[in-house]
Amino acid sequence: MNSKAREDGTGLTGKLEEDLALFQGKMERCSDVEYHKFTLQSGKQGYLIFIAGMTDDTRLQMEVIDPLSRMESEQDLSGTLKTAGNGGNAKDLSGSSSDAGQLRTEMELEQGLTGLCKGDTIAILDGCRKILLVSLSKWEQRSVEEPASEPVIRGARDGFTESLQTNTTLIRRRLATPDLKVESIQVGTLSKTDMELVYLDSVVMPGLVDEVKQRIQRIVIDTVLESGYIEELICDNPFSVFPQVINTERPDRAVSGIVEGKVVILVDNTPFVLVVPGLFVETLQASEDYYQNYIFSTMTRFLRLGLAIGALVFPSIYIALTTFHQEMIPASLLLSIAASREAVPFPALIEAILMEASFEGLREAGIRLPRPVGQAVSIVGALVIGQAAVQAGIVSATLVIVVSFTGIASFIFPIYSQGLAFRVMRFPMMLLAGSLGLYGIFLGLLVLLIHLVKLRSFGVPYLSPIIPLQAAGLKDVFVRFPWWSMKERPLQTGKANLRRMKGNMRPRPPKS
Amino acid sequence: MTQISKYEMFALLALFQLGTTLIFGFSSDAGRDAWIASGISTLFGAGLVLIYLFIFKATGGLTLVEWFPWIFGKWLGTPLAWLFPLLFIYNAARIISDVRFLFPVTILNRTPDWIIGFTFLGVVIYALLGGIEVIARLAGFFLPLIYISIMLEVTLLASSGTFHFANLLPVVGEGWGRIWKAVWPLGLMQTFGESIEFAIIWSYVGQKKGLALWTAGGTLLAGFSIALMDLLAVSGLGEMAFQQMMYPAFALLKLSNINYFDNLDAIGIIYLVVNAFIKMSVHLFSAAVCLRYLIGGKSEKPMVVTASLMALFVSMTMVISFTEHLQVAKQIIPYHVWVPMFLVLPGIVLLALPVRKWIAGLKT
Repeated sequence: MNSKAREDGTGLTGKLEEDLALFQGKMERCSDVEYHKFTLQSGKQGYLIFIAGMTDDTRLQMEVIDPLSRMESEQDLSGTLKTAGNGGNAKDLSGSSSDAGQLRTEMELEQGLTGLCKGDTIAILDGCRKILLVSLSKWEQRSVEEPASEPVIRGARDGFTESLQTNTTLIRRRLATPDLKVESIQVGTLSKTDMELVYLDSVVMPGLVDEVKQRIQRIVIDTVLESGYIEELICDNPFSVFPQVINTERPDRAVSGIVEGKVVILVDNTPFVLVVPGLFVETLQASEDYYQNYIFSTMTRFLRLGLAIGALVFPSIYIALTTFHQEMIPASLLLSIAASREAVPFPALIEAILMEASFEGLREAGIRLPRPVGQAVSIVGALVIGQAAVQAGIVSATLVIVVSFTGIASFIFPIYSQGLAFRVMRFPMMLLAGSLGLYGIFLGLLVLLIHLVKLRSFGVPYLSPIIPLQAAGLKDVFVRFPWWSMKERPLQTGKANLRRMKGNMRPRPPKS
Repeated sequence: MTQISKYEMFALLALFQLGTTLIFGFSSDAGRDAWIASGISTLFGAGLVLIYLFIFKATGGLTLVEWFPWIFGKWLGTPLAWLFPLLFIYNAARIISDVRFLFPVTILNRTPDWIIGFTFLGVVIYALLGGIEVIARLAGFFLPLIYISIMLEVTLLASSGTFHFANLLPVVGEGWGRIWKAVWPLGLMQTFGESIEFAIIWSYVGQKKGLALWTAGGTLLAGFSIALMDLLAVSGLGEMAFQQMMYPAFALLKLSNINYFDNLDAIGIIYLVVNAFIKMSVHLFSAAVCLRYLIGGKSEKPMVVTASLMALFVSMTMVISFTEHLQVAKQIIPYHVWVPMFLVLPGIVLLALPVRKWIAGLKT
């Protein structure tokens, strides 16, 4: 290894100025790299190379630069050398700063440079071929905050951050067991993004970890900026609009996935972690369902299911009924709808698509707009699109109600990406309703259902436990059974270790 | 090989047998005694389906299309086997026609029928390309849904005072003659004889133990539901209307008038879409499997598309009016096609089974 690196010129030469030139050549036009010269008391010289802003300056000074300049000769530290794996060679660079974070040595220049770019501090010494890497990385990062995309009334308020290490800690603190495995993988030829697979060894679905690793390892891509890249590169059906991988910002949600036998994929630089396999029913389960009273949670779930269906088909039903099946509307309601549509020049389909599109536009603008102009948009949105459009006879008041209801309904998804899928599918449904009426709606629903039945996430049918039916799994789908009755993990992922609690946990009054 | 569970087979069978009878009514020739005719048909039908299952098991799990070459040898058996995929395609074509005629008449007045036929077939092909597993799983999901709809329908109709059970009296007032006429051959052949297609589906069931029980259960469930719907339709509409209507069960849905539910057409559309979808899928899938066996291909997918397009062509060309379509179903097919193929040929196979065993015994 040693000689190989020397021969093919991928290592250092051992002459300080030449080595420095090597680094400077590689890091040419990188003004953020700093070179700091130091001299040991023996007169031997060396360089510290690091990237400004990615290193903890105070610690660098106290734990590396100070000890180095105090050091009489490199022999003093041959003992600690061993821990750094240098083989005790007196000529090697010392391990004097071994109390400074993590310490390792590399022979290859490339690996030294990678470390440098990831925030390590490099030390090179005259007459030494090895590169010492001191991990003193520190940069500005966001603190742990409440997740913005998944707020709860009751439940933990901490959310994942952009730092991989913090995220791992958030999970580890909830599962204090050596059974929790954290495997590291790197993806991205340029970004070299660190990723971690987190799972419980005794619980995880058999074969899942290997499958996930295999799918991640075949990814060759330059950069991974967000976990969405990974999601699209590892899902089962890349042409589906439905999220086959759950993404969440909530550590408690990730952990509940882990204890159900799933694998959580953490990606550096994003607060969104991935939980695989992702199932349809999960996208309708909020983590709060498990913290609040189960009867209330059950009601919420029914509500959510109803609203989810509403978000998908409510505008299409309006179109179908007003265009094709007036006889199905009760007479009194029909009269009021007809009265409100009297002045409207458009057919229901055009009317509905216009309104839905402007609502989607409002929503998109609401996300993108700079904060100071927010009020202007909401006034314009509420007044122009709501009130004025009706008064001007462009759209009917009934339709405004339909569109607002649909808009609210499409926000109920605890997993935002599922809401996106429903928002997209609403438009083809409207077209079908406008051309084929109720028949079109049912046909569209049938196609969606067939698609969902065909869909799998890491081998698990997407609609399970509803299709194929697993009666035991239904304890946590439409109703949320009380905790003392959910004795087993979900069958589809938790088969390896089904039992999660002792039987007979139901609290009872003491016998007097 | 894809496998389906016994429950999925059960659901598939029940929905297949319910078929479009939830719209068209069943045994309407028997007038107010249609429900008796349906009940009797069901009992005999269950026996018939069990005979198919018996042959399936006795041949060691051979599918329908393999029976004939196995019994009669290649030269006589293969042409006989060819009859079945053609019949299944024809059956599928009939379902397309059902859908094609019924939607414009009931809810989509001005929509051209070919658009309905095209779109419906497109959905079926999309599902079939996923294999029998997809269809079976969908059936497993739809079965509870259909029964919830039936219960809803019955409750709403009952509470709006639609049912007048006096319409059923006198029971067997005109003798057993017309009841038997309804049972034989149409009642027995229409849904239960068609179930011979499950001699193909059964080979996909993973766990074959207890198959007979699930099969009989599915048949009885479907049959008695049909009888119940007949009973309700007669008591709601009266004998005359029940016999004269083209789709009495659908008309029944329009009778609801409780508060806001002026009619239950939406439920009717669910019945029609779901049941026609399942039935057509099973027809086309069976046809595709038979074709694949006879032509000798690796995958069912090209066969599915071929069979579907053939069915569409047949459907678009075979009749020009709905009455003609119904006429054919009542007077020609049962006698000339269904009886020989659903009863005579399997009967011969059944009789030939011991003979073949005996010959095989001689050889060894």
